[in-house]
Amino acid sequence: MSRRNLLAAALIAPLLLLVTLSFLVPLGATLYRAVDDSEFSTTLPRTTALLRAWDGKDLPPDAAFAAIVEELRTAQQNQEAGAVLSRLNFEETGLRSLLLQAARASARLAPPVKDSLIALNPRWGEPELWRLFKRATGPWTSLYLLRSLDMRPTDKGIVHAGAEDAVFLPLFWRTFEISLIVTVICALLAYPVAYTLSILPQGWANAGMMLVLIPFWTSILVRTTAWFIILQREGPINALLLAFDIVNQPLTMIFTRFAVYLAMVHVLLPFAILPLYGVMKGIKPDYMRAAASLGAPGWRRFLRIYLPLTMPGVAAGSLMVFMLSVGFYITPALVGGSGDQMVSYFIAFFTNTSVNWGMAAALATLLMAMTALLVIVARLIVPGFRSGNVKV
Amino acid sequence: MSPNMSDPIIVFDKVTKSYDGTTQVVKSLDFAVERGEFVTLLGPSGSGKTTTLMMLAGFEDPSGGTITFDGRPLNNVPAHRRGIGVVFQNYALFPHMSVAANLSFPMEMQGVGRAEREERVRGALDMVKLGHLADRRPTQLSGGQQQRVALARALVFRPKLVLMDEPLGALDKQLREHMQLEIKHIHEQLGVTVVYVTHDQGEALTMSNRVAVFHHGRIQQLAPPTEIYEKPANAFVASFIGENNKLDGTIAARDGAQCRLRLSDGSEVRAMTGTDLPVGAPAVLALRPEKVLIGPAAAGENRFDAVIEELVYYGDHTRLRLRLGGSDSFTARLTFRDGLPALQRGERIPVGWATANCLALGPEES
Repeated sequence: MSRRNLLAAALIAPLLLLVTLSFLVPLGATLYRAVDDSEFSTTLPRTTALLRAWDGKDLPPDAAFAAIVEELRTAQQNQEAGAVLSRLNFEETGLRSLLLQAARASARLAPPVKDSLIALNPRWGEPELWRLFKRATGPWTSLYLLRSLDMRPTDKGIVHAGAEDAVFLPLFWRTFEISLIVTVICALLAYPVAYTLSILPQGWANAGMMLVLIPFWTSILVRTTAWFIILQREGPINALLLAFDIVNQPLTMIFTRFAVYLAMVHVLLPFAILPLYGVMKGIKPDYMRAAASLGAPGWRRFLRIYLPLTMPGVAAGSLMVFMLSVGFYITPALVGGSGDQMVSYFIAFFTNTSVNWGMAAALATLLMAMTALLVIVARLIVPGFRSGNVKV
Repeated sequence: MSPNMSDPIIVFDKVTKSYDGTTQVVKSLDFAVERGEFVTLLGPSGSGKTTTLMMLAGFEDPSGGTITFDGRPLNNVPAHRRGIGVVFQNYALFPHMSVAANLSFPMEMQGVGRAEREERVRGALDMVKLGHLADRRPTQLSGGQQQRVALARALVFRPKLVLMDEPLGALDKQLREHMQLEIKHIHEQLGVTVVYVTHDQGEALTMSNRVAVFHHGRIQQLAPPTEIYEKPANAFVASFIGENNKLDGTIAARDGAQCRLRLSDGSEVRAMTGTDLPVGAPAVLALRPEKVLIGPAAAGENRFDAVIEELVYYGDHTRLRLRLGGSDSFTARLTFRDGLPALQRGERIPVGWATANCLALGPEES
């Protein structure tokens, strides 16, 4: 490599390092976590070896019974059993107590361990339980991804949860619904604002742009908190409405879907305005003059010329707003009710509260994949996404 | 009321335009354009020529006065109801439509049926020799091709008047000269009235039936190209069109169409004068460098001695910078059929010109 190339490499190295450490590594780790299944094999290595050798028919060899009890007791004594217990209990509620019972009883179990265990709890004699353990030996699992789609792997293949038990599919649906509505509202509001800014004299346009940018520079948390206060039952809006006798009892605005839309649109509007403004600024007045000279009245000029020419701006702004909406957490968490939470809320829940990183990673991975899919579909069907080339 | 076909198609009556209420960009325009005429508005930038065009197209409103087009006043008629084709400096072809769709657009606005639209689009593209590019996007075309498409689009809906705002400004010299001829031929072929804006005097002289020279918001002269060049109405026109020697002086005496002009160094010149300059009025002597004669040819009334300050050889001609009549930048443009005479810097030579070739002009109108 020549000196020049070395110098170039040295110049981009810090950025490359930053991108790798702050983006590629966490992304890779997340994708890995979503399918990783190493708790069982790490904590119970001998059982893992025996179960992997087992053909899965009837019951595993006696040695497997002895090994799992032995290894569970050791892990329990060394306080290392937590992870595998959570992993198994997540797949089937009740397995934690079953395993703890066996670990506690391990000293008293007379050989052969197999018969004693089955005597202790008849579940140990069920081949399904052992097949579940065999599946848990990893190293990969589809459990978290399937659960995130309201499905579960069993002996007999993948089982769908009933409509009343479905949690995550409605959650994804709600996330995309809220995001789409926020995107549409932002696009509709941003269009006239950006247009006005683009035709104002420079001084006024700068002042108007400040009004757009100042909220943009304010922290999302601050803006959301402001809405949290404004929309309270005893907040300023209700106080005004009551004072002017417009309503006779306070309106419920906080913790509603309305509050979520309001706050999210407020936070995201600049992302729709800025690209649109840029595109509109670049449209020469000659296009509209040409359309007029060719006999097009105002509304036809708008529909046939201005709108298609500004579609790339609408598309860029909408894409930005949609992508940000999909990952929104703070705003719905603060001003929305329990029925207004989005996927990010559950990612946070699984990360912080239930400490189930597999689920958090699976939800994040699916959210990313679905968003990418939607964007690709939108690029194919929405005019203006591809550099303003609109078929007329 | 049907307009009389012998009436002018465009009449400007005391039209003024001011953007800020104080400075007038266009000051009291009065002129008419005949049907089928090719009129060029020529002037330096800021002279008001483009504003005049914009008012005609309907993109700007006059601050005062009336523009009449085809027998009806244009006040309060929006641009889209004027039926005037416009070719823009940067073509303004719609980038999101194909060439054919661009041409089809004005006819869609008129409600012309699909079959006729397609036929006329084909016809218009054939006229500008671009029939094979109908499905391309404007951005895929060269500058010259875009220019032709813009021209075809402005003509395809059969307007009675086409306005062109420096349409060839973005093209290179060779293509520009080619397009000048092409536009001229299309104009002759279709008989459409054309108002053409340019700051290029060559373009104005070669293409137009009449040229309107603009300066400071006024028409300084509106006349056929030969008259503009041979008989400029005032000092501005004389210096803006082609090259002219200008010598300051005062009218010493008048004698019909001729006068005697006293130059600043005291010498007197006989000159033609078209304007009503009284005796004692300041005037400018305008004389084209190619009309200056030297040596034995310099005989007659206007004969002087001049010193050669500089000699520049151009191949097909030679330019002399002379000290004469109080100026040291008096230029003579010499072409020699029989080889170069031996001239040297610092040499004193006889210089002269025919009275018919020099003009005493008043200052410009303002």
